[in-house]
Amino acid sequence: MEGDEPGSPVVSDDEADSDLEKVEFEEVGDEIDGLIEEDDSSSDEEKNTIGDIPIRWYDGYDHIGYNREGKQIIRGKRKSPLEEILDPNAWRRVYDERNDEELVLTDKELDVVSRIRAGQYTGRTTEGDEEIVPWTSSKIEIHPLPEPTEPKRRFTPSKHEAAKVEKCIESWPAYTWTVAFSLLLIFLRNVIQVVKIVRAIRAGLIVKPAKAEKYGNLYSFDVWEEKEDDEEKSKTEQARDLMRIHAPKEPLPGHAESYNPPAEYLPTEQERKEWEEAEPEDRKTNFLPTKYDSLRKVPAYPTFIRERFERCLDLYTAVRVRKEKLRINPEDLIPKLPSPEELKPFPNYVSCSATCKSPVLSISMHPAGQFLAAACDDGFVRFFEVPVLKCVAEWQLHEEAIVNVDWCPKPNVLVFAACAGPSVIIGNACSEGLGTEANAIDSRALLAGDEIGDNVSQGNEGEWTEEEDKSVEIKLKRRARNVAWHHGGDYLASVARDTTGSSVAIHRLSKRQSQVPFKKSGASAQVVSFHPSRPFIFIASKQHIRVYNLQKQVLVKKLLPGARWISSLSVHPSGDHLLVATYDMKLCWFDLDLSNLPYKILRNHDEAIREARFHPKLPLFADCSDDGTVLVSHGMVYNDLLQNALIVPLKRIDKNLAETPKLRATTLAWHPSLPWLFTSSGDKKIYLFTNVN
Amino acid sequence: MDGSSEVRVRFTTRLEDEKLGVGSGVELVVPGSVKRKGLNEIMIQILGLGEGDQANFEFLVHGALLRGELGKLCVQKGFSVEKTVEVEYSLRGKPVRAEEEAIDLDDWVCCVDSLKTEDGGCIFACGTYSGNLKIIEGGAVVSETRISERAVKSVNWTSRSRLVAAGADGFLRSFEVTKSFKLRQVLIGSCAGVEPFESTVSVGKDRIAGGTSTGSLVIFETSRESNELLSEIRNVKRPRASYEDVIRAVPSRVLEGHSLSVTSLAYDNDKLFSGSWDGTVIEWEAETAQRIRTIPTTMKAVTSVSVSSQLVAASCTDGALRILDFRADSSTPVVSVRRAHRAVANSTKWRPDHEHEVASTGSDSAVRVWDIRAKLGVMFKRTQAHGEDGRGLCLSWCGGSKLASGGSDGVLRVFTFV
Repeated sequence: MEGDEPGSPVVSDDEADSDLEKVEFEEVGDEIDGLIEEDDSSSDEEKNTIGDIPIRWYDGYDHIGYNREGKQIIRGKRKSPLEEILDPNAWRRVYDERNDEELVLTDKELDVVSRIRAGQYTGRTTEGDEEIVPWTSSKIEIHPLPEPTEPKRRFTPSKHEAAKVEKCIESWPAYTWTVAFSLLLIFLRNVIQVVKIVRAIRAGLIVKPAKAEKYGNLYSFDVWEEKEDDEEKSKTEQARDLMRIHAPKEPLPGHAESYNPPAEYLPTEQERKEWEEAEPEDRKTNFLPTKYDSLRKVPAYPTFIRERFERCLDLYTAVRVRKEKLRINPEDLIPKLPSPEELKPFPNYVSCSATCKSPVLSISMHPAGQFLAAACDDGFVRFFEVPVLKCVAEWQLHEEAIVNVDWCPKPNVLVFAACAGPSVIIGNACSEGLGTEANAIDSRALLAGDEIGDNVSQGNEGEWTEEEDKSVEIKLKRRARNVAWHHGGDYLASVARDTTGSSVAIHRLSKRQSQVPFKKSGASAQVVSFHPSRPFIFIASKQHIRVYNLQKQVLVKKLLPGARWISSLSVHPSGDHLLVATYDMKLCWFDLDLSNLPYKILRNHDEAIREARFHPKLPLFADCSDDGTVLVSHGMVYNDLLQNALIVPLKRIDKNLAETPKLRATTLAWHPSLPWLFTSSGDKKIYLFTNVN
Repeated sequence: MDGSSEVRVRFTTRLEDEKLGVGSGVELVVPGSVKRKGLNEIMIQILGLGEGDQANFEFLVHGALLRGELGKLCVQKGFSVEKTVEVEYSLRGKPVRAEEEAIDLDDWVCCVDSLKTEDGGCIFACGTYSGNLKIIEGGAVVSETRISERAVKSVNWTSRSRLVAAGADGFLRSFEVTKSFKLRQVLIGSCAGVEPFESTVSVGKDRIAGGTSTGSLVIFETSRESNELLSEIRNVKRPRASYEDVIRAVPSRVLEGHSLSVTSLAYDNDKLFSGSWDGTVIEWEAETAQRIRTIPTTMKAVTSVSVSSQLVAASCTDGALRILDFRADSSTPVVSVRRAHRAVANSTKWRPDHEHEVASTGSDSAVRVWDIRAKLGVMFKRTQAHGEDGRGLCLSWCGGSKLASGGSDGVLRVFTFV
């Protein structure tokens, strides 16, 4: 009906010969009504008065509605499919379920149907034999053709037609929509024919698509229905609305895209050339700014279709995914460690400092906790009393620098071992005015050793010389670098190294014996240390640490810190953990029960780590680095084998130290029982850090 | 109540001077923002003093010296607005100035103890790191002896003519000082071979207590007859030939309580207090040698203790000065100054006859006298008393006006307060 152009004459098939004049003066609706009565044997008037409701509501009843007298229209008995097949007229029957009656198509109707199917006009008379109306003739008239004022009804859609079509559409299954529309377009002017066709469709003369039959009423929904509020929406619909991702907006056009852009947007000749030569993918913009005087001079945009297509293609092919923003709280990435406040006491502030007369290379704290020995550059060992750091004694052991010093681990003696030049010197500090009488007696006894003497030279690698009650010197073949006492206080191990190689020797003080048990490992030994309770020795070469069982004389383990150069080694008092400092800025914690790889690698320094030490009693360790800082950490070891060690960095000490960062701390020592840390370096300063606050 | 509100005060005093005692009982309303100087002016007006008198008053509000605004102090103390605040006024001591006297000694001064003579003079006994024991009277060393190669760690007068010195070599030596200040070795108290002790000594009535570096205390009873001691000593192995002619004594008691080196001892009537590196102060019954109480000072090693009427001042390695009250139940310090010294606080001593004042010295080279009523406001201070990079190591009061301090510059400095 929408296609019904206002003003155009409505021509009925049956009166194709009717001319303009006739149509003008008659009501179209009346005309059609008359036609229907004429054509259709049965009246189009509804017998059923149920009104405008779906007939399926009566499905459960034996009647299908009420007639005009108010009586039930009893559902007629339908023929069985077999009867239908047997009926010779079955093919021309159409069932009107609303009125429960069967319509029999007349020959004329059948003719129309067959014409429709053949794609011809429905009216036989319209075909080819119309009289040619000479609407325009060669003869030029002076006056216009007589044309009376057109009535309004020609401009308004016919209500009658609308009612008719609506009625049809209502009862149609959805699949007929496509057919109906096409038919409507063609036969809009002949509603009667449409109704007939509808009836034909019902009769099964027009074949349904298979799919439509399958889904049936599923398709009969109102596509344009508006749902206003969300309450009516089902949950899935609501969810879909929530999850709907809108297409990304296209960027708005800029000045360059104007039809009359400012001059600065216009490309120069060279730019234009470059643009044209470039591959379409390489171009910065997909257009060239062009200037037009006026909008009407703007030609059609040549790539419009292509751009639209590409846009659609982009929208279609690019999967729109709601981007889940990864919300990670930075705090959560940090492992949960206890607060340093809970792990007190630990050293945090400088409590005292003292200046040594010459640069300090190594320090060691006496196990009784009163004297600190500092190995100095000028061949002296200086002794400082704690906590005032008063230099109580100094002793020139050698002409060369003392590179390492270590106190004998027995608390009642004041005996130390030091490395200087090619010698390991064991000195009795009591002879220099340290300690009590009792200390002096014990120290002398330790230094004197057993009365042997005959087999002194047997199996001796070093050359022993001694000064009564004062010192014992062991001359090695190479330059002594490192010395470590066994916890028993009788054995000590030394590392000697020069350009030709290195050797690890084990000395026995009481017997004045030296041995070199490790012929092979001497390649590049750096540091040596004894196990605090078992007969093990740890020898660190440049890149790995070997653990030997001295009793069985076998290699127990080889630890791989993955470092290039090991600088220091510290064994935990329990003996199961090892702290390895390296020159490549790493501090490795080994759990000997776990594996031969580090349990934890701590990278807390920017430069080489010189030394790292465990506290002998408290769960603390510290390391000092060339970057000028000392890091005090908590290292708790549990007796429970299943629980790994807890490592918490506590305090980075970098203030209050010397001005030259490199010289801030190169060596450190712990007090044996208190949380006190001593550091020293080549700047001659010795610092004592204690637990303040 | 804040600084802008008013405070009702009633003045009291203990001054016996008739002229100055007039102000007692006077009630006034003063602004809360008034400070000591303001109250001082009010007081001068009340008393009607002329400008020539230049009276200077100190005000005590419930045991706290007024410093800053009165209103704020009242808020701190939690007084209600309606309450009349009792303010005790007393004459302010003149600004503490000290005349300084320096006596050169040869090495770091480890310990000092003073003895007041009958004529008001002071005799100081000093021990140095080089092992010398020196007697100083009238600003000069009158007598000295070298008692060992090790430092003299502690010295204490036992009577007018005797003193005890603890050496780092592990011996307690008792000396008799004759009139000519000639030192004569009379007794060596030792437990040689058993425990080395070296750190400290303190003298009580008929008793000498020594602390050892292993954490035990040894008590010697001086009242016992020397021949009795002799018989005891015959079985003891003698460590050194040079002391053979000297009577040796074994301790009558060994007290175990500390886990680390005992650094300081102090007798107070029948109580003995000991401070140790293990961070505790222990109160002992002197007679029975029973441990009464232990007060920990939060793992900070104690370097020195001093006792005055059950208040124990303890200096700690973190530079703090803690005042512990052994009569109270709680173990937290009554007052504590966190940073009394910027380095290790080495020594502390209560000022005799001044129950609120305590002196301290530390490795930051400063000597300070604190008043504990004003949250330890400094009464007197001498920074760098022992040189720029020095350490103050020991203190001793001689009477209430002389304070001797020894340090790393090898000088005994005597401050005389005027």
